Amino acid sequence: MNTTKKTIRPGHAADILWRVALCVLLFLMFFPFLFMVMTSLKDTHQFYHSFWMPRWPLHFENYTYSLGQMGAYIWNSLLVTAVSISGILTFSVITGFLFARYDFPGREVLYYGMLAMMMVPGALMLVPSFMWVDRLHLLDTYWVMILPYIAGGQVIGCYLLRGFFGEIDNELFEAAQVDGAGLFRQLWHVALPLARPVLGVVAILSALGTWNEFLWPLVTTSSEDVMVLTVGMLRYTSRVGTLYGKMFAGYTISAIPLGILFIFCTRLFMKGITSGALKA
Amino acid sequence: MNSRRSNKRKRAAGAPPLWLIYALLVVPIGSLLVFRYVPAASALFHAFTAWDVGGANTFVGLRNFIELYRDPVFLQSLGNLAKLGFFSFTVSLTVPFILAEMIFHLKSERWGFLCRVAVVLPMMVPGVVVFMLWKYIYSDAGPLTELLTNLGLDDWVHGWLSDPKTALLAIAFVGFPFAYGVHTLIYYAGLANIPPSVLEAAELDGLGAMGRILRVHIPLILQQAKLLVVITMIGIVNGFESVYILTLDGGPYNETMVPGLYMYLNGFSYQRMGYACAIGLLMLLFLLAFTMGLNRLVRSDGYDPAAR
Repeated sequence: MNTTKKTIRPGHAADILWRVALCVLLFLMFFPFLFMVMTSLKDTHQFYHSFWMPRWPLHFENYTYSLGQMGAYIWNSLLVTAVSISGILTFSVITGFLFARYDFPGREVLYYGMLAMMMVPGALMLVPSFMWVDRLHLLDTYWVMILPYIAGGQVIGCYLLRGFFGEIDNELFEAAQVDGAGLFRQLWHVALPLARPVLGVVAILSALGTWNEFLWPLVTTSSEDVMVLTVGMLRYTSRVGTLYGKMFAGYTISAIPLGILFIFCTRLFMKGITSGALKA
Repeated sequence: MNSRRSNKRKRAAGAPPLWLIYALLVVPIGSLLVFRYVPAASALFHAFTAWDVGGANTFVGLRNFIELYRDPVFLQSLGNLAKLGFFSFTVSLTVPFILAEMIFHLKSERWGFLCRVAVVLPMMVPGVVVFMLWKYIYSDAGPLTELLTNLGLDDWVHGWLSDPKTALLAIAFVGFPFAYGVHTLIYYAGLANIPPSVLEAAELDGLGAMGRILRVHIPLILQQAKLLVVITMIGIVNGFESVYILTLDGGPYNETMVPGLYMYLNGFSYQRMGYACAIGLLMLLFLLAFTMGLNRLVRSDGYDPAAR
């Protein structure tokens, strides 16, 4: 039996107090989101006459409306995020594996040269980065988002994967080598299958980062053809004006993609969030 | 000597040829050079130039920095950042700690897990949307106004974001009750890493709940707290998305201006890119100095749960 928590028995006053306080805190935290979902199902009349409470009938047409308005943004976001994650995974597997497994001249310099970029937040380089991609004629393309996301996102991936690959028992690779497996087959058949959870963490961190990115796409894209959801939300918000049901339906939809990801990989997600924080 | 020998041994064991290694690294590291190092170098260089939209680009030495030193808007933005930073530092280090303690004290494993999941859930909503929600909360048609009206406090109702007296406070309260998921999970990880023997010893010594928190928990999660201090500081100094969404230009009367937003405005609205680079450089230098100072202040020797 766990003796450490003996003083607080179930039913004990202190325990109940803790729980009540916890519930209050969580309720306050969730209030804006509960309100968002509730209001997203109302029409204007219901909104003004029943501010605090849900009202029937539920107006799901708010959702069809905002899906119609935001479908293109969502598609662009999905595309940019998917391509970025694939690139980040590929790059960080390659660099992480090489840095962890092999010794070559310049290894330390290159490795720490990569890590150094974690200290320089992208926001501080917003202006020169913008001028630079303008000169590269990348403005208003998918690439203006994808390429910098991959370049920057691989760093944390390289760091996590180098640590992981470095801890794999050498004998595994030696055995593969005896069987005649070269670099690529060792990577593909030995390292990658073991690294699946770490790859998952890297993918989730990248998904959070790219999906939520706002300032960079705000300054580098203005055409609706490539506009992502975060920037599109601004336009959508001003378009619907005071039609709050439609506005909140849009907001709710913006949370669905990451929400689905979260449902399918809850534990990985929570692990990913904290290991991402460790990069500081 | 030693390393060279091990180098040779690895090579002899059938390591791939050097050219292959470098060939594989070219694209990843090249992309980093192009999209991170070039802009960083450009920022460093252009901080000392007058860089205008036409491309005119003259070296002006320290003039940007001297101008910043006398720029009332920039100085005001520093003051705002200090106020906002102090507030958000305090709340984002304490509320998640209290929340983590609450979850840690839950007896049921399942409830503990559910609570941790719940704390993370709001992260599904993009930050921009959260800020838009808060903009709405403060608006005339929002819950704050409605609540005050329902309580009969009509006199209190006003434009929280447009009144210079309350604008900064309204920005500070975005995210209330500040139960940030990442912070809470990091604290929780620290608490969960404390060896049960230590907790038992504390109890045998007759420490009450408060005593255990103050004298056992807090000293043992200093490492996590340090990490959070750095994360929070980086977030505060870089973060101007909230201000951009809520007041757009740091108004009213620059009451909500922060250095990040001022940098953005100089770069993209006033077309003063060199000046913007100078602001960015100052922010970066501040963050580096802060991180180094903190590392020196809180040494990572002694018990380190993060190292296990």
